[in-house]
Order: sequence, then structure tokens, then C-alpha cells
Amino acid sequence: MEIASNLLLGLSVALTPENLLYCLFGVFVGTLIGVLPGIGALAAISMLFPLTFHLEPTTALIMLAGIYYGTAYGGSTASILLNIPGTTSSAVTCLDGYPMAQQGRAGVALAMTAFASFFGGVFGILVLSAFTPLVAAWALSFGSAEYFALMVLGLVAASTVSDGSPVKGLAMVVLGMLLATIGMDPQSGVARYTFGSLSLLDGLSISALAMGLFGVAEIITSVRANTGRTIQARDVSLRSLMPTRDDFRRSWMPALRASTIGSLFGALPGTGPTVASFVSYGVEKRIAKDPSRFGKGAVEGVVAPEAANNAADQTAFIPTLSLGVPGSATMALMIGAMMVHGIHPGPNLVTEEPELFWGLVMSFWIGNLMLVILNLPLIGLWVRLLTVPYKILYPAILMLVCIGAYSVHYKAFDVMVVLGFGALGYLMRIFSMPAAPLLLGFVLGPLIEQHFRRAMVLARGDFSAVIERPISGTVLLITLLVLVWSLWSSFRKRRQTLAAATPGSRIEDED
Amino acid sequence: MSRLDIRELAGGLFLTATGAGFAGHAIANYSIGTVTRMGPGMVPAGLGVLLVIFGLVAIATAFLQESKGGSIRIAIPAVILLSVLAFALLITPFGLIPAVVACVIVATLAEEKFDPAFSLKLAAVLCLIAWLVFVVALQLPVTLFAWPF
Repeated sequence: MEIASNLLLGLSVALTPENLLYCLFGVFVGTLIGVLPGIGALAAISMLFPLTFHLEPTTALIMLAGIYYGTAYGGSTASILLNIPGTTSSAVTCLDGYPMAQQGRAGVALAMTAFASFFGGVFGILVLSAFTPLVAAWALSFGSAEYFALMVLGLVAASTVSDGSPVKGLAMVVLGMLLATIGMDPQSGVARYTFGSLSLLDGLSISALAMGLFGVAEIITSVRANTGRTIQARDVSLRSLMPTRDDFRRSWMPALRASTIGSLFGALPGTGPTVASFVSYGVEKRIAKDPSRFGKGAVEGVVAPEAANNAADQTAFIPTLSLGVPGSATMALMIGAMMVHGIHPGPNLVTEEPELFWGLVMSFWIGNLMLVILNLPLIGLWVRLLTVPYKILYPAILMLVCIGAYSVHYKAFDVMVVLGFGALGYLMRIFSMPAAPLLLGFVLGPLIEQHFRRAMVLARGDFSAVIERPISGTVLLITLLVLVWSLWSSFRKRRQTLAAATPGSRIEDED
Repeated sequence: MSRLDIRELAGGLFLTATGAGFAGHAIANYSIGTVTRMGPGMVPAGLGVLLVIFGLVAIATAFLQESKGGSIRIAIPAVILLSVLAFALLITPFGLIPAVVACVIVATLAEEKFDPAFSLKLAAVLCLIAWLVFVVALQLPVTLFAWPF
């Protein structure tokens, strides 16, 4: 009966008017951001991050999480109607979604997307509520050595598994960790890299960093980049949304398989909704009786990636909430939001803060339900939104970024930090260095330093003691394997591209 | 086509210089300590050295690949960053509304054709939104107008 009482407790938290309101606000903004190409979930969450300082921690997380999984719903709309993915995790949805729209079945594609997203989301929540307490109970015996090893694995996996150069990903993690050392060292009380500035004593603020790297830098690259592209929004009537019985029959098994794949990839560090959607599309195409239908408007090709990315969005919370180790930059922001409120996510979270944990989980159900309601009848609104010109959008975003940064401490200094990170973010784009690992390193850096120093004290300065402990040793071995594998595969890819002499393009993977 | 990727080289130099700066400053100013009792300088110095190594790897690979080309935008980034700067400089002495107006008008300069009427209209609408969202709804204690003199 413990589960039932936990769920009831969660429901009572999630159903308070304030939490319902912020959940609705979160999923609404998430859908909005997801629909609009050129602005991602990370930019949106970092923009609204300062607002959450004035909220209860549970309410804050409910809202931020709503933005996060809401973008997965909205992202597919742009994919289907415009052939431009609103978010990277919806990129695969273009492959069959856009052909469906060209065949006049845009409404069906959108409806099936909403159903698949809901199915995947609910599946992910079930996995999340079943596994988080288990992982947390297992992790109670972890010491600093284990945490150090887990965090290193998280950072290495997140910076090397996605495409792009693994060396650059790792370099960005290290740069993020270095930036996090700015300010007062909690263990010795020494002010590091402050150069006498009082504003720097508290360290750089995570919201200013994220807004600069993901908000301002994104605008710099997007302004005037897509002029001349005329957007023709298709009319989508409510009647055209109705899928046929055949669509449903074809979709059951793909949705189930994709949700399983998505749940797995969501929980693993380094992989996330984007990888999950690509893999599940590939699996469906491989096991289909007639693979040639894919790419020409097969309904499975829309259902599978959307179920997978929504499931992955939910299960990404498993390591975050049970271990306090984020698997992606977005999850790092969630951890940042908790730490601002003095909550340190870890194995004790589920038992010590049951209102927060179960309230958040139950809000996911409510949020997913709200998203289906928001997305189906309001589809016309979202379609019209696609036609809002960017020249109105980007000054508004810049204004929100500036006020958001300023409102944290009411200091112009924080706006200057945004400016600095906007410039750094643009520089990094020129050098094709990914920004997400930097944020991860920034959040995990102080924790790694703390656990590393503590583990070394306990081991009397002998690092082999960390390796000899069964769990930390195994995790570090896995880390080494990930590292070697990704370096080797990037080396092989480099030789192949040199031989073929074709410049490869890469998308910034920001989930 | 020379076999040197200038952009990659610049990126590598940037990483190397940043790492060396962090490590050098840590070694010069903070106590390193011993492995058992680490001082505040140990971790930053180690990370700085790591960043230098990654930078050197990037520099080495720059000599092994061809330049990918592609132009680098200068004017647009400068305008966007200036609009953030305008907000930062105006918010404390002049208050929210002048800061928003300056930020929005400078930002619209990034468009191909600057349309003063459009910029003013957009600035007015965004001021209204800022006031409604941050002052009326969220009740943040920000001054709308101030006069420092």
C-alpha cells in the first residue's frame, strides 16, 4: 500500500491550484518553444529559470519540467508542417511526417504524434516511478568514491557519445568545470579567480551562463539566417485530425517498442531523446514487412520517434532524481534549480522529500494530459504561430533574457555575465565546440571536486583505492571503454571523411 | 587549398591559452597542497593542464585537415551583444523602461533594413509586456523610471 499512499500524496501536491497553474504554464511555454524553430528547450528553461527563484521548489520544478517535455510535443508540429524540426529530438519525425502532410494527411500525422507522445510519456513515467526508488535505495550505500566515478562517467558519456569531436566535447566539460571554480572555494574559504570583485565571490550564476550560451548565442546565429524562407502554414481542421482504424492498428506495436527504447536511452547518461528517436525509427524500418514505405509517409515513422523521445524525456529524471547525476544539460539545469532552493538531489530525495518527488511525478501525468488537450484542439493556434516573423521574436527574447538575468539579484553585473557568455557561445559556435557539455561541467564541477577531494582524503591519497572499490572501479572502467570507443570511432570517421572529402554537417544536439 | 584548418587552429589556441591562464594563475596564487590534503589550487591547476592538452590535440588536428570555409558574421553578433550591453548600462541609472527601449531598438538594428517606425512600435509593445509580466503579475521590485542626475 506504500505505492498507493505515495501516489496519493503526489496527487495532492500536484493538484493544488498553484501547481496546476504553473504546470499548465510550463507545458504551454514548452509547446510554444517547441513549435518555434530556432529556439530550443535549453534556452527556454534558462530564460524562465530566474522566475523560479520566487516559487516553491516543487512548483519551480513542475514548471521547468513542463517546459522540457512540452517542447517534445511542440517540436513535431514544425517537423510535420514545415519539414523543419522545431527541436533536434523531432528531426526524424520530418522523414515521414512531412510526406504525410504533402499527401494531405497533416492532421492525421499531428493527431498520431499527440497520441504517440502521450503513450511514450505515460510509459516513461511508469518506468520512472518504478525505478527511481529502487536506484535510490541501492545508492544509499554510495560514498564519495562512487559519486566521483558516476559523475565522471556522466560527463564523459554526455560529451563524447553524441556526434562531433569527442576532444572538443571533453574540452568544453573541462572549461565548464574551470568556470565553476570561480568564486569562494567551499572547503578552504579561499576566493578563486575573483580578482577582488565582490560580485564574483558567489561565483557565476548558472542562469546567466545558460541564457548567454543558449539564448543570446542562438539569436546571434539565427538572425537573418533564414530570410527568404516563406512559411506557408497549412490549414488543419479538427475534422482532418481523425486517424483511420488502420493508422491505429499499425501504431500499437511501434509505440510500445519505441517507448521501451526511449525509456532505456533516456535513463543512460549521454544518450537522450534525440538518440532514442533515431534508434527507434531505425528499428521500425528494419523490422517492417515493407521498409520501402518509410520516408514516404508511413504512420509508424511518425509514431516511433515521438513515442521514444517523450519516454526518454521522462526517464532522464531517473539518474537526476535518484543519484543527483544529470545525464544531459537540461537535467543539469533541473539540478541547478533544486540547488538554488537548497535541495541536494541524491538517494535521500525520494524518502526525505516525498512531496517533491511524488508531486513532480504526478505532475508529469497531469502535464502530459494537458499537452494532448493543448495540442489537438488548439492546433490551429500553433500552426499560425509558425508564421510569426523572427524579427519580432528575437528582440522580445533578448528583452526577456536581460530582465530575467537582472531579476536574480537586481544587479546589472549579471546582465554583463550574460553578455560575456553570449560572446563566448558565439565564439564556440565558430570553433564548432558544443555548449551543452560546458553547462554539464559547470554544474557537476563543484560536486566532482568536492567528492574527489573527500575520496582522496579517505583513501589517504592513494587513487588505486578508488579503483579497487567494486562499484567505483566498474564505473570508471565503463568510462574508459566509452572514452576509447568514441575516440576510436571519431578517428575512423575522420579517415572516412578525408577519403571521401565530403564536409559533414552536424546539428547541435542540445537535449 | 592548404592543408591547414585556420578555424580549428584558432579554436585550439583558444583552448590552450584559456587552460594555461587558469592553471598558471592557480599555481601562482593558490596553495596546491598534497594529494591527501588538497589545497584550493590543486583542482583548477589540474583542469587547466587538461584543457591545455585538449587544446594541443585540436591544434595538431588542424594541420591534418582542410579548411571547411564558411563566412564568420561580425556585424550581427556585435549588434546583438550591444543591445544586451545597452540594457546592462541603463537598467541601474535609468530604470526598466529606458533599458528595454534601448535594448529593443539596438537589437532591431541587426535587420537588413532598419525601419524606425517598426522598432519604436515593437519597443512600445515590449515595454507594455515587460511592465505587465514583471511588475503587475510577478511584482518584482524594479524601478520603471529613474533619473540619476
